Amino acid sequence: MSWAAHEFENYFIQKHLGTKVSFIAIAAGTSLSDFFTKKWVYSAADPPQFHRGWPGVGFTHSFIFGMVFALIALGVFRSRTWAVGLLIGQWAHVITDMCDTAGVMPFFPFSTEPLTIGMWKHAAVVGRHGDAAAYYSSLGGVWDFLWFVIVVLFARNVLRADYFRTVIVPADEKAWSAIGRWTRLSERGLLVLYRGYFIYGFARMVSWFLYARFDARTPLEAWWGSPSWVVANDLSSASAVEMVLRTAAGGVMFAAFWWLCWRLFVRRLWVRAGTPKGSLQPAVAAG
Amino acid sequence: MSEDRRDLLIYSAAIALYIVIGLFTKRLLSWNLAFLYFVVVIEVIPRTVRRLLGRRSAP
Repeated sequence: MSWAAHEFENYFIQKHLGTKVSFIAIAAGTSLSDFFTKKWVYSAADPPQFHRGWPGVGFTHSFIFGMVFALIALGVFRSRTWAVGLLIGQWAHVITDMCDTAGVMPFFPFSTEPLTIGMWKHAAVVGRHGDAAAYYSSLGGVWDFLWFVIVVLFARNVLRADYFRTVIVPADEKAWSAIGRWTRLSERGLLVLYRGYFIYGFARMVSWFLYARFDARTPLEAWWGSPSWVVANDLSSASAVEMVLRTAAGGVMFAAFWWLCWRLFVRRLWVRAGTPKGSLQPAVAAG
Repeated sequence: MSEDRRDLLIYSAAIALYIVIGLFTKRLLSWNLAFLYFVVVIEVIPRTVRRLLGRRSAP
């Protein structure tokens, strides 16, 4: 699994979508998959199977899971900005989690073959602290750092106060004003909340890296498939070719399913939730 | 001191304190508590201090 990368991705996605999506929806989308699973992963009898497999709750790391929440946003709240934000955020989480050895089932239920590039080991089997030490001793930690650098180099403008004022709030004015009312925070406080994922991601990346180096004292093995001291935990014995073929077949069926849903009802929901092009207002209140 | 620089200092101090607390206690706050921590340390405490100092220096 990825750690701080999920937090940093939000800002990179935001940079490219501007007012077309709600930042809160992107952040909720990237958190969705683990929100329903992470609490129980470390106490599960077989953590990788539970977290990413089927049987298990691996369906939370599939594209269809994000689709369900996006459709709820579209159908119930009539908000395109939330639907797109949730979908893109959740899909980004799924794609990122393909990097570890447990992989994900992106096209569940059409394919239950875990798709993985095996960049680092899924190490939930050694407990939360062991998982952190393993992640920050492998390419996982490098992956987090890479996302941090990408945001700082290419998307740092989205962290500015004026960007928050002119893009983030107008894109989802209702939600931000509701948060302001509930928490009684000033604009500066809301800005801290907006930047929260970035500073939280950075703080825990540094904390866990230092924990791995000076407390757990695990060797730094920044190469493919590390760390060597964690047992391999691939969920499938299929070869790479089989994995690609099964996933491709699942992808074709998923695309056909998506097209059918679009024709049957999603297009109607999308039109109904329609916000005028260029509008800064979400369509939550429509109707 | 400019507002940007003051913000940078406060954010850096909050992150550093979070890391130190995490390393000493070997427990990191979950995301929701971490957000609460950052809002309190970065916004609520400095605002309260500014308000108190402002009140004290007022004629």
